[in-house]
Amino acid sequence: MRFRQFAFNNIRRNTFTYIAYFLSSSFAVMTFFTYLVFVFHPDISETPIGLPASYGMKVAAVITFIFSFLFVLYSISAFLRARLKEFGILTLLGAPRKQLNYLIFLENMFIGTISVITGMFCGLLFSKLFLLFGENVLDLKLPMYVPMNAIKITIAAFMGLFLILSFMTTIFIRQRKALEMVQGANKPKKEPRASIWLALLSVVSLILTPILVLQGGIINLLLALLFDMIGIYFFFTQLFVVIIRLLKKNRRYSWYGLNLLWVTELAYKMKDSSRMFFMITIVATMACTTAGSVLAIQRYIEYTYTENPFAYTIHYYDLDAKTNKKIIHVAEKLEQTLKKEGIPYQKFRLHTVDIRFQYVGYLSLIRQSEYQEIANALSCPNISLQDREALFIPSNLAPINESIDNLTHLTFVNQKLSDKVERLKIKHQYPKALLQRENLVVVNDHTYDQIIEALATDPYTLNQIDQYLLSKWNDQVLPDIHSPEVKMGRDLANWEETLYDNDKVTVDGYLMSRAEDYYSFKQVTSLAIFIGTFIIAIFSIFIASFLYFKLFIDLQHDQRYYHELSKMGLSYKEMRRAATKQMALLFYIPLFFSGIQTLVALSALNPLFPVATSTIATGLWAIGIFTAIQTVYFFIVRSRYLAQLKKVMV
Amino acid sequence: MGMLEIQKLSKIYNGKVSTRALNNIDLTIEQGEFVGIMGASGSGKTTLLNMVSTIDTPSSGKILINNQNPHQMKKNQLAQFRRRQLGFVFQDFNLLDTLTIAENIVLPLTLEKKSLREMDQKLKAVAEKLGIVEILNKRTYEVSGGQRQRAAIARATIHSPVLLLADEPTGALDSKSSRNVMEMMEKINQTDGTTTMLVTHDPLAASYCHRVVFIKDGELYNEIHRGQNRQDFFQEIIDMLSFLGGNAHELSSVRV
Repeated sequence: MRFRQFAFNNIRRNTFTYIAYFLSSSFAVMTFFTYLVFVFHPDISETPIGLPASYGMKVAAVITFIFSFLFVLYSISAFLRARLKEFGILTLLGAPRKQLNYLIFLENMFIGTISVITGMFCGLLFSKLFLLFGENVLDLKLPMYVPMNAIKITIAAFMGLFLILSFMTTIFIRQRKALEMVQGANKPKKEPRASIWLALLSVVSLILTPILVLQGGIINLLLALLFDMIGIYFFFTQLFVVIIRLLKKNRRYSWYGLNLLWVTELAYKMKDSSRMFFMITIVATMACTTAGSVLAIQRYIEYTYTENPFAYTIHYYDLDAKTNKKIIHVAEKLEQTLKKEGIPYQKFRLHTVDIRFQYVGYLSLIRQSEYQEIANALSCPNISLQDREALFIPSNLAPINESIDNLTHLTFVNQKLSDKVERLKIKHQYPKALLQRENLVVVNDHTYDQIIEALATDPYTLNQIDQYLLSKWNDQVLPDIHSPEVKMGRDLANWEETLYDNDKVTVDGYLMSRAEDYYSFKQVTSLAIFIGTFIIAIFSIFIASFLYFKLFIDLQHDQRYYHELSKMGLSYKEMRRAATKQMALLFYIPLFFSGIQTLVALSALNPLFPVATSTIATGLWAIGIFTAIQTVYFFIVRSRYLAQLKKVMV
Repeated sequence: MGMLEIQKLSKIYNGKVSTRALNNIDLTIEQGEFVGIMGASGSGKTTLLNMVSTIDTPSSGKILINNQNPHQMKKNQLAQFRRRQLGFVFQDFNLLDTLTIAENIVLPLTLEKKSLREMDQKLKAVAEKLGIVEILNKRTYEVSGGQRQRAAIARATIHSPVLLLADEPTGALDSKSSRNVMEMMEKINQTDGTTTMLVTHDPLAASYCHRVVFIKDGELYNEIHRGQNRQDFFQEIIDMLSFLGGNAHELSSVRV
């Protein structure tokens, strides 16, 4: 038997040992490949989804690959650790290190090649399903195609990965002594050590983090991130051990029932793979934060539709009077279309001036008579305004600005205005999106004219805006691609676009359709959500598999542990309870931290969104979904693990 | 009625070739008795111990411990029976190395949710008796084999079991530690009156018993009782063993 034959036979006859490693590698290949099939799909790469989205997709591909790498690395080391004894025996029989390394190298490359092939094969089947799902979410046609690019990249990336890992594992094995290898992982483990100072550092960092986030400011946020990392890292490596030690000191708790069994074991399990738990926490945080912010963006886009009462808005341009191009009147076209479709409408004309005020910046000024018409139609409050009195209408689509709430007066920045009008007294505040994101100030006609007059010498722009109220379409239901509002909006947008390409004509205004805006944004966010869901799914599967491997590396040890206890009279029920508590803590402690981190991170993002969109709420959603998925895995892993332990209970 | 009552016990392991590990064993151990079981490797003495310790179930026959038949109990009930009525000492100590010596010893009591005061009291008493007070806060891998076995004995007896079962307790120890451990077991048997069943290869360990039962090929072969002098008893055991071994030697000519 030649050595190479020995290596292959070794794999052939030990299928059971290799299967977990093989399956996890294939799984990593499959997810990566499926994702690439999607990214390189000709219809996806042609869709104008904007730079951020395509950039996001590339980043996602890299992240997926990095995690595949870590995942495969971890499963290799788990797999090799399980076989240490075998290597020890080979060493005792006189196999030189070189040959041993060659054996491991051959095995790895063999398994790697097979798992790339099977992974891609399963990926091909799975990607059809994935594309179908994508069609549904994205309203796109995504037929199956021959994914040459995906195949090439997957082969190159993973063969390279297995090559590197094969070299790395030979290093991993090299450091061990033969005796250690024969004993395998059976030696008693040293008590986990922890430094009380580093544990304190962790506590301090964890306390500092939310304080810094609440302070705001970019430097504080970066510092918070740093402290957060330090805090979490030393939590898993030091603080957790210290907590367990304190828990054990409290004998009233630790010397009671099953506590002695699972509490002490937990410190070992956590300390053994503290870095892995740290990573899991970070990954879960990334997943939940991404999901939370994408959901928040989606909510926001929905609000821009439902909160805006006007289906169409035309912003008129300041046209050069001497132009010799043919002027196209946008309003005419719109009104014709509406008449043709038989849709009644109300039209409101506004003249706004952007004026800068102290503390709040630019606000749009409108006259009371124009406001009154809109107010009657939309049943907004009717306020009688004296000179120098104002009705302030902050848009509920604008980001939150707390300084606005307590405002009693509006003070002009412009000196001329201050001289002439002094300042405006805010008589009433009423939040409403009357002009999309603009915050409006209503003054009576006399004051309005006064201000215009005072500004006359300054360059100012009097904006003319037409708003169309189509009460038929204001039913608060989000439109989809088949709703007439979206269809008409898209038709008009296409029409507008053809005019811009034409040199001989010029338009007198810019037509905005709220449904068209909503729909085109929604397509981008749907894509982001789709990719985000995929990545979260991958992360959560990876996390679950990490934990699964962790438990099954320790399985032999745990089986012996519970076997001995069972002889002493530990019942199956008690074993189940102790093991479940332990597993639950391993599963949910990282999740708990990433939940808190997600909420902190998203609360830092909250000021960027309007009041109505709470990033905290969307964050809670994301965490909830993630927790639900992890819980499903928890029960699966638990039942597999308990089944293995039940075997040894006498 | 004895503390341990074994009646017509047989055990057959079914496999490609069925093996009869135990055949029709009858054995009674009285309250407070210290009985050794000896026999060559494969004679069935460990199988017998496993039956008595309720880890394995007999193919036929009956075992009564303190007038209860553990093999008719449900699994959870059985686990409780084991931890309340039985104490185990193993060759490889079976101490949990994630726990300190003290924690290992009180483990049976914590599972029963006893009060801290009671546990401390019993721990102190048993540790003093076995001379392991100063190592209570050490880890299992920080103390010698003899100390570990004494800790295991402490764990097996802290809940005052009705029956103490020991499987080769001196198998992994040097002769000085062996002697020491056996003296401790003898002391426990004398002061607490704990009924003890000891399975061993080691004639020195067996010489501490009141009675030694010999098993050969799954059947009871002989038993000898201890007189006044342990030294003489030791010699008797050696003689018995060499007789047993001699028998095997005689048969070997037939085999070849």
